Amino acid sequence: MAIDSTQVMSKPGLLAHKGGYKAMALVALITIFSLGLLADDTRWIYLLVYLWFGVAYGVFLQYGRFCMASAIRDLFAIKVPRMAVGVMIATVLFSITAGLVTVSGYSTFYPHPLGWHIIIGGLIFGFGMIFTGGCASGSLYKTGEGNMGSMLVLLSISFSMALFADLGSWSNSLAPASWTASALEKGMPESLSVTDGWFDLFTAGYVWNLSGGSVADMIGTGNVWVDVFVGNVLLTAILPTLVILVILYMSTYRKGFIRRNKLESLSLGDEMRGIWGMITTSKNTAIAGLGLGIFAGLQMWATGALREHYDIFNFGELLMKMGYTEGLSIQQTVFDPGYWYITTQEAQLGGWVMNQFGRDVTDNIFFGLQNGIPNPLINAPLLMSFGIIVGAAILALSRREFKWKVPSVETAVFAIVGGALMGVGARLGMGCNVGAFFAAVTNGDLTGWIFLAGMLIGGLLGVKAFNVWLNRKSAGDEFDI
Amino acid sequence: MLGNIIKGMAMFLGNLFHWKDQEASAQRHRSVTRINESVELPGYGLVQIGCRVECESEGCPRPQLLTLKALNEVDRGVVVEVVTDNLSVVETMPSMMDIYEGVHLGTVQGKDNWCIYVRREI
Repeated sequence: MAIDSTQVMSKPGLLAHKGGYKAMALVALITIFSLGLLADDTRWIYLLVYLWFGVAYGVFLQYGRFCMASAIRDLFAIKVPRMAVGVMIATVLFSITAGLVTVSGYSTFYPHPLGWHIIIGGLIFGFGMIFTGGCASGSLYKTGEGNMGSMLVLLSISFSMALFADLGSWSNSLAPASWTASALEKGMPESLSVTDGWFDLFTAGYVWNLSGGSVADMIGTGNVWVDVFVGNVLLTAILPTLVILVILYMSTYRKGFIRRNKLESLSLGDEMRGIWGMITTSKNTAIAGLGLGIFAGLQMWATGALREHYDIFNFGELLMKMGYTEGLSIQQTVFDPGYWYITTQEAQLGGWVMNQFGRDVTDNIFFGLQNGIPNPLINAPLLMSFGIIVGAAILALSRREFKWKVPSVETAVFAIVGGALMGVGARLGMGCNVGAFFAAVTNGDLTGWIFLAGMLIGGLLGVKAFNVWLNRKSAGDEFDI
Repeated sequence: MLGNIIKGMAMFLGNLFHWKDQEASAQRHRSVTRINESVELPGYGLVQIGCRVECESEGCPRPQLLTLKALNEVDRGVVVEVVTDNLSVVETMPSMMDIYEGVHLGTVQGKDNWCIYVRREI
């Protein structure tokens, strides 16, 4: 195959081609959709903030091929730190912007309760993620590139979470009796039947007994700047990130750096050049990390400011004022984190679909008390996920990288099974690689690092299992050289 | 013990899908082939290609692992062409060459795929 690189490498502009026109059409469509909503009621701006930040995330994720599954898999399978470095850059940037937002009083983040469920959830999530080939956010942006295997992952995550949150009476015996007793003490409304279903017992009988907090809360000097920037930003995010970067450099990049530069002994300056070289090896990934970190903080600020403007605590209140009451929880709330989040809204989608088919999923804590199952069209975080798909599609189309990819049977099975594991892990760990790790560690919540530890263990086991599969698949006959 | 359970599960899945893989296997045995073709790469001019790794429709990390295997098999200085439609592979390959004993010469975008050119250095 002789390639005329002069033909394929020359690009007549970013948008002046078929894919570019489709990308522009997508931008036009969501702009018209947004203007239509605003014409109906300007309060829809709250929902549109989610949508457009989702679009921005999608653009950055696609630009840097930003995926936590790649980060772990590349590290363990081929010892390439590219993506792990990108995640660390995003972590540092988000921690700084989140710190500014917290100090300004607009933070929407609440620390997660600390317990064994975090590491177990991370482990199951990490194991499943290796087989699907994409993390929660990675599967969204890959769907935007036309990858139908990633669509299957999203469907599998959505329905597995909804089913897991709505486990029936058969699962009661799997919970310790102490959870049942503790759940009963909470005095929840009978309609939630909190002693019926493993996940309800887990939530009311175990998780609600735990406590959590940010490092800023623990420091508690009374000076919010010191608490937030020393506790949350420096101690929880930046220092651990720098340690991880040094470990990544020493264990993966350094050997090649010495070889390429023909160095015999390294001075501190050489080591710093090496670390910088590792960080800037993939500029796309590094830029994506910068962008995601900044935009994640900006979204929290924008949502916090809108809550103050409308004098609300949760989007459910705004929906009530606008006359939309269907799908709200019994507290008149909906899932509304105010920051980048992926999995809970996907569970809501699964729950909503199941509800449409006649299965009542509102008799549990997850949907009935906490998150509701609003119509997907007015589910703000779900529109953020949709925005990620659209944003990735826009960039992929404009860069001629969009391609419908139909999965093989093997890929489809991995997507469904791995996606189901990711869904179960996300519910146990109270989030995914974004909500339970990225948003947590950048807001001073140490449970994020625990989730990452679980995800790394699960990822390592997943890579080992995957390698067994690969070796078997490729045994013998692949090499004709 | 956990390792053995995982290994067993993977073997089970392997057996389960073995019957589906006959055609793919026939295709796969040609996935790494010796070739003698040339390509014009910016900054390098006309470059002789000695080996091709066909990885279209393959998920990570298989393309990367096959490329490393191919680089191990060829002689020093031989250029390997990796054909893929996986964008993660496109992004990872230059970084991978920084770690391993190779050089990334360039990546050429085709209509439906990418051709990545790497050369064994040591």
